Amino acid sequence: MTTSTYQERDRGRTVTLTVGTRFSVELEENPTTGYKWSAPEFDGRSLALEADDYTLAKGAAIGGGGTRKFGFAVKSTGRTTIRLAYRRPWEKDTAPEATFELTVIGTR
Amino acid sequence: MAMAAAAAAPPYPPAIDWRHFPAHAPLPAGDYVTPVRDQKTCGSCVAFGTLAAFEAAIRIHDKNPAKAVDLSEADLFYCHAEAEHGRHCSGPSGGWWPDAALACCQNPGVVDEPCFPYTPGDQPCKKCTDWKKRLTKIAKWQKITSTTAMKQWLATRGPLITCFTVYADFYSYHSGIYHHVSGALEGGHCVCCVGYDDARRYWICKNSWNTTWGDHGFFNIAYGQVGIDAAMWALEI
Repeated sequence: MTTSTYQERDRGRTVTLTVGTRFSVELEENPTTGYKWSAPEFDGRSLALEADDYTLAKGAAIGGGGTRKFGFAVKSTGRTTIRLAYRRPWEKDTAPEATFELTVIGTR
Repeated sequence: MAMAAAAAAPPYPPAIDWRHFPAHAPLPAGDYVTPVRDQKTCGSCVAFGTLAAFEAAIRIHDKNPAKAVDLSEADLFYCHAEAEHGRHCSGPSGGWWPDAALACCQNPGVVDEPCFPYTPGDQPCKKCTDWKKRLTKIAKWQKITSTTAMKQWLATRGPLITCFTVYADFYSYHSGIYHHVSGALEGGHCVCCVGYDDARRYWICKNSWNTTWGDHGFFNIAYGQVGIDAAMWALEI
């Protein structure tokens, strides 16, 4: 079983992964600004979200941020797009500061 | 039978709120707290918390709650935290420290907002050409660790700078008194403390997450919660 990590540079990519593969999406986040990556949207028949963790960067001072890591597993064949939005939870009606999309094609 | 000794009154008034300061010689009544700002996506809260206290101190010093004062968070963060101290909006060198920010407010001082308007994101220091003539400085500053001294300062001198730990339940605050109940640790944050209420045991703070958050950008937080009163920083004009 392989483990891959997708980051900011992978925004908009399409990747092909075999069923059973575990992978993560790791993005810079600074929640003390009020901004966070939203819970990911995807087709739950194709993927499973297994982890949602935030790690403060070593060396961060007051106001410093860290990394948000979403862990996934490919459940079945098919195509789905993971969508994330970087926004303040209470500003639901405003456009996000950033978005991230990764399309996953599950294969045998 | 001996009379029970009356409890000594604390050396500060029961409540202070610099947003609604009553006339008290030599200060006229009014709102000495400048408008709520928005740091947006940059971890520059130390600059915002520090200058919120600095701006209020200017209004108090000038005995003018209506004085238009807006100092440049961009100058403090991008010209000092970034250019001189190697700090950034995020990442392993993200954020800053109040002591360092106050030292910069003392020397060389901070320019006004129009001289270097704030936009979020790491960037070079680009102040107006006559920036040296537009500096405002503090005379001195100190770190306070006694809650009695914090209240005395708030009651007699003005707002303070404070830092605390943000947990996920802080985002959903909109009124009342914040107590941490649930949610993951998100990191350290710096704000300006503009008052307190001893009867209900809370501090009144000005955040830098725009007026869309909290109680029009402000929040009340219970004494002793999430490190809010472990230390505060005071400045003098």
